[in-house]
Amino acid sequence: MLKCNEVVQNASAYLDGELPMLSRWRIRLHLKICENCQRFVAQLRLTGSMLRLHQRDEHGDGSDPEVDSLVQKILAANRDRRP
Amino acid sequence: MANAPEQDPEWLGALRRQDKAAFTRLVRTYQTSMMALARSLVGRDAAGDVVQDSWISAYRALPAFEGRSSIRTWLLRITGNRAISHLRTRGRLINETDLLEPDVTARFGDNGRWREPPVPWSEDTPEGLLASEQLRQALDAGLETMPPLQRTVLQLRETENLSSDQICKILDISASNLYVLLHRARTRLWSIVDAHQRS
Repeated sequence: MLKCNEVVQNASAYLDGELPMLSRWRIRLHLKICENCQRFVAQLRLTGSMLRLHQRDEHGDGSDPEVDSLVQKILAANRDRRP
Repeated sequence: MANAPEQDPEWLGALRRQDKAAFTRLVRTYQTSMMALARSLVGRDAAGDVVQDSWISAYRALPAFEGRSSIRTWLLRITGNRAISHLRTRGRLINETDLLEPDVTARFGDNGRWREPPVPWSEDTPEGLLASEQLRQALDAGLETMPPLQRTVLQLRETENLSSDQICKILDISASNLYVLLHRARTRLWSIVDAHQRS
């Protein structure tokens, strides 16, 4: 039987579906009987969703004037390098 | 209109000919993702230069683009390489898998069971949690002080929704390193929310 700290150690890979079948099965078994680890895994999943929402509107820099000016700089840098 | 050049052979062909309109469309499509990656690795101040240099490299390499990976992964890989070499030349790239575990490990007893178990959170939706300005500030501060690779794997996985294989290629790290970095980044964020909920 897995210990709680082993479940926590593997919780991230478990959520990503990256664990081999046996390890996944052992974690599922532990989660069936351990309320604390169940809560931890659910909260870890929720933390990921929260981060996605938090960062969704943070990064701009895709507006047309910015892109047009960036493209001009890139093309100019490329021309400058040509022999 | 296709969202990726791989779905639009005409666009891809025009890109290989370095057509300006096709390239502008490419920049418009991927600039935000490249900026987010660069900011995560090198910080806000240096990100603009890293991304501009990455676009210059990409523009020059376009005629030889073979399409072995998606163009998005290819662009992010160029950006990742540029950003990592920026960190390396400034001595800021460290082996983050050697760093100490976040404090979640201190919450277990010698028998491996929870000594300080997680408490129920008062909110169980992302929107509910983020309604707290205090938590949003704590998150920003936590992300700001997170080691660059930890922060970046978290962002590539959670925000860009990339596969492990793609992230390993972009950052040139092994799968086992990726799992360690992701685990630490996520438990660090979890600790921030948990501390906020307890307070």
